[in-house]
Amino acid sequence: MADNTQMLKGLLEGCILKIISKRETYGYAICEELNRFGFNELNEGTVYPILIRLEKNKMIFSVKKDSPLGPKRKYFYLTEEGENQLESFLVNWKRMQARVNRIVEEDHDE
Amino acid sequence: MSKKVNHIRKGMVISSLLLSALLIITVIVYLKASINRSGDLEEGILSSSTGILAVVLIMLAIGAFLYTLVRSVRKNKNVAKLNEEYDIVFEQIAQYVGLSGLTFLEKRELNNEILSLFLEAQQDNKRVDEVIGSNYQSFADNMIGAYGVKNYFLYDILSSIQYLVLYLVAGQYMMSLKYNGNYFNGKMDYTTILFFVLISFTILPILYKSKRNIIKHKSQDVNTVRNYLSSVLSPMIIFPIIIIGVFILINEVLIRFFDHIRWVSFFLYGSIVVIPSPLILGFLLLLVVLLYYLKRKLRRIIG
Repeated sequence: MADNTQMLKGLLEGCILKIISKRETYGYAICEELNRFGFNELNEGTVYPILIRLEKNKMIFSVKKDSPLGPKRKYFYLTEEGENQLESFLVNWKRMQARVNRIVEEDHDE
Repeated sequence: MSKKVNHIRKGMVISSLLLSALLIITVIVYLKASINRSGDLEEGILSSSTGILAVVLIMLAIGAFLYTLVRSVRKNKNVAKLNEEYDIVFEQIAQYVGLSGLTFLEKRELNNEILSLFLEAQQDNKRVDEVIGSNYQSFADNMIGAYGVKNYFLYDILSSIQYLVLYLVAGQYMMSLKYNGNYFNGKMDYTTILFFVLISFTILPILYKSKRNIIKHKSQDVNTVRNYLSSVLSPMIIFPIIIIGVFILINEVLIRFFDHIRWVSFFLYGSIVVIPSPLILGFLLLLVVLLYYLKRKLRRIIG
């Protein structure tokens, strides 16, 4: 049986890059968006370290803006490197998705 | 600021006061015993290494108490917005982050991130464990690890060496006050040097390690009485007291029963100029700076 956690780790960075590419957003909102798309098992404790790593690896950059709640909020944007990484992820995902679907559909046909 | 955190902070201030007072009393008693034994403080308290060490320890004890008092009173206005549950967890995580290998700016940034997260989640009426999971230490490790910091052992060793060098440099300055201010004539007792080694390589790592383990699992309830006791009886308080106590005890036993033995007498009453020349001093100060950069470099490789 496939381990959801392992699969998720591989896909999460790509999903987060995709969410950031759509509009300026911040950590908490990214997590809410992932929950909205069905990743209910994810919490902020999983997402935030990924955002830190992406920023350290220069896939995204942040700008601090005022927040109504207190400390300034970090809003994230893709860098050029991040856009390339996202494109690469989307291509690989579509390729992998097609292959897996073929295997799964073949089993169903049988 | 929640009532429980207020109680916890009051407990820390009281514990700090008691321990500082205990250390000061111990030092004064030891100093008086030294005066009775050797009489070498007739010229004033700063005329001997024992006196100087005593003054330094008393100043450290007072400083530690004042530091705890100031920290307990100063309130970050954003932290004050947290409810009790988030406040307690944030305080512990911030302390944990404070002892990581992150730089000052990274620690500040990370604490702000976590605070921002907690305020957002609190507004949505989420519980802490819904946001960061039930193992708070694991969450903190993941956040710190995202900056590339994982290995504390080497970091602590390098920090210990740095502290020892700084103690020796400062210690020689204090001893040199006895020699007309000539720094390179300042002799340090072997017992004082050993004490510095003990603090650097034993007490400090224990303090760091026990403070890093301070985060409790979600299932452990936080209650006021337990927090008073745990702050007084925690390893970070008990172990240093035991180590210092054992050191003083061994010293006394050696003086009373074994100082007729040549090497014991040499160790107890002998002294040495640790830094005899400007070249050595320059080398040691350069070493401190190099160790700082090495610590930062190492964590990137190891982490």
